[in-house]
Amino acid sequence: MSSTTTSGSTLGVLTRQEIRNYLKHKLFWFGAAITVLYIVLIAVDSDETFGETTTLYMIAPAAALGVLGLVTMFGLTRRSDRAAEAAGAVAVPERTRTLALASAVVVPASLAFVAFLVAVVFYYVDPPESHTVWPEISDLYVHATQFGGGVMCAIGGPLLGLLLARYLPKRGVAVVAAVVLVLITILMQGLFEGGQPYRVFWFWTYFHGPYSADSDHWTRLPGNPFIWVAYLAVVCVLGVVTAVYHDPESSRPTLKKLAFGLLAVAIVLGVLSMTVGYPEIIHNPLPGEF
Amino acid sequence: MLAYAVRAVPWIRIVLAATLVVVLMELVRWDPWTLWPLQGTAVGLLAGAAAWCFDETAAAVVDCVPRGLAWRTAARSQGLVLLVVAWTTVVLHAGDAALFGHRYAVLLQGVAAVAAGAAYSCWRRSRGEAVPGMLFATAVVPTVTAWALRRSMSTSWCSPTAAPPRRAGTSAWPGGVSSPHPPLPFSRPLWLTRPGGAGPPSALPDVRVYSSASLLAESRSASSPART
Repeated sequence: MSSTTTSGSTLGVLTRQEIRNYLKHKLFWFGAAITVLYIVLIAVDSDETFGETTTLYMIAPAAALGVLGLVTMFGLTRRSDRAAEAAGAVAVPERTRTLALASAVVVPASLAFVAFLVAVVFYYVDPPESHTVWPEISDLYVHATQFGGGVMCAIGGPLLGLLLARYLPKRGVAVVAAVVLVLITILMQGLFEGGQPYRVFWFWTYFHGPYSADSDHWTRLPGNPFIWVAYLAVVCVLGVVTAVYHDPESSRPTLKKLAFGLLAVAIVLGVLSMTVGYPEIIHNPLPGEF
Repeated sequence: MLAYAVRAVPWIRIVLAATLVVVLMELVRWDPWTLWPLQGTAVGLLAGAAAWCFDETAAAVVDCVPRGLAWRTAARSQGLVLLVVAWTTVVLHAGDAALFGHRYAVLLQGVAAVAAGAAYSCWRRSRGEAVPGMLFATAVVPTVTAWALRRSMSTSWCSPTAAPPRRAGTSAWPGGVSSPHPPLPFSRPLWLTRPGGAGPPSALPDVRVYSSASLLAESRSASSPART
C-alpha cells in the first residue's frame, strides 16, 4: 500500500471523526438554534420587516455559526492536539489532522447554506419593499451579499479558530479573539466616513442598509459584493494553507509559495472589490417605513 | 494573601479583558446607537474574566496543601477588584447620555456578571473541577456576544444586555422605562438605524447620487401595497 493511499484513508477517517466531534459540540447546536430561529422569524415576522430581515439575514449565521464556530473549532483543534500528545509518537502527522479539522467546516457551511437558500426562496416568495431593494440594487447583488456574509463567514469563522489554535494555542485566546473579531467587524459595517470602501478587506460587512444620515433611506455602500465573495473564498483557502504550514514536517517551501500566491490574489481581489463596479454611495430615493 | 494572588491569578488575561472592556465601552460611549452590541459583549467578557480568576490548573497539587480552598478563593478574589473598578469607571465615565439614561442599570449588569462568573467558578471548583472558568468563559463570552449581535429579538425575549429600549411603550430594561422612539420591526438588526434626531449624527455624507423623479415614480408604482 502506498503512503498516499494510507494518508488518504487516514484523512478520510479523521475527517469523519472531526465532523462527528463538530456535530457533538454544544456551541454549534446553540448557534444552529439561533440560526434556525432567525430563519423562522423571517417568515413569522415578514409583515413587520418589509423584507429587510431577508436581505440582511446574514447577521444570524455570521454571529451564530461564524463567531461561535471560531470558538468551537479552536476547542476541537486543542483537543486533537492533546490527543496527539497523549498518544506520543503518532503515525498521523499534524498536517493531516489540520486538513481533517478544516474539512469539518462542512458542518456549519451546510447549515449556513440551507439558511441562505431559505432566505433566497423567501426573498422571491415575499419580495422586499422597494424602499429596501430598489432598481439600483439587483437581486443577484443582494444574493451575493447574503452568500458572502452568511455562508462564507460560517466557513471562515471556524477556519480562523483553526488558525489561532495552530499559532496561538494559549488559554483564553478563542474568547478574546471572538470579542476582538466582533469589535472590528462592528466598526467595519460601512457606517463611517465615506462608507469605508476599505472595509471589503474585512471578513464581514454590509453592502446596503439604512445608512443615510437621517436613517430614513436605504443606501448602497461602496464595494463589489461579487468580487468580495471570491476574496473571502481565497482568504479561506489561504487560512487552510497557513494552518497546514504550521506542521514542521510539511513541505514548507511549496506551501510558502502557495501562501504568498494566494495572498497576492486576495489583495488584488480586495482592491478590485473596492474599486470595480460600485465605487460610490447611492441612496434609495424612497424613504423607509421605520 | 496578596503575594499568592500575584502569582496565582492569570493577570495577563484579566488585564487584557479589563482593557477590552474599557475599549468596548468607550466605543459605546462614542456612538451608542451604532455600537450598542459591544455593551453586551463587554458584560459577557466581564463574566468570563471573573470566572478565569478562580481556575487552578494545578488543582491536583494545590488541593492537597495546607492552604484550604476558601483561603485560596479569597486570595484569588482580588482579581475581581480590577474588573469591577474598570467597569465602574468606564460606565460612570460613559454617563447617562450614552447609556440611554440607564447608567446604574448598566453598572449593575456588569457587577452582576462578575458575581455570576465568580460564583459559578467557585462552585465548580468546590466540586473538584480544576479549570471551570475556562469552560465557562468559552461558552458564555461568545454566546453573549452572538446574543448581543442578534439583539433585535430583545423586544420579546432578550435580556437588557442586548438592546437599548427602542419600542414605544415597552422596554427591555429593568424598571420598565418607556422609550420615546417609534416601534421598529421585530427581527431587524436594530443597530443599523438610529431614530431621526437621536444620537450623534452619522458620518456618512447625505449624497443622493441616485435620485430622479421618474425613477422615484417608477419605484413607487412597482412597490407592493403598503403594509401596516
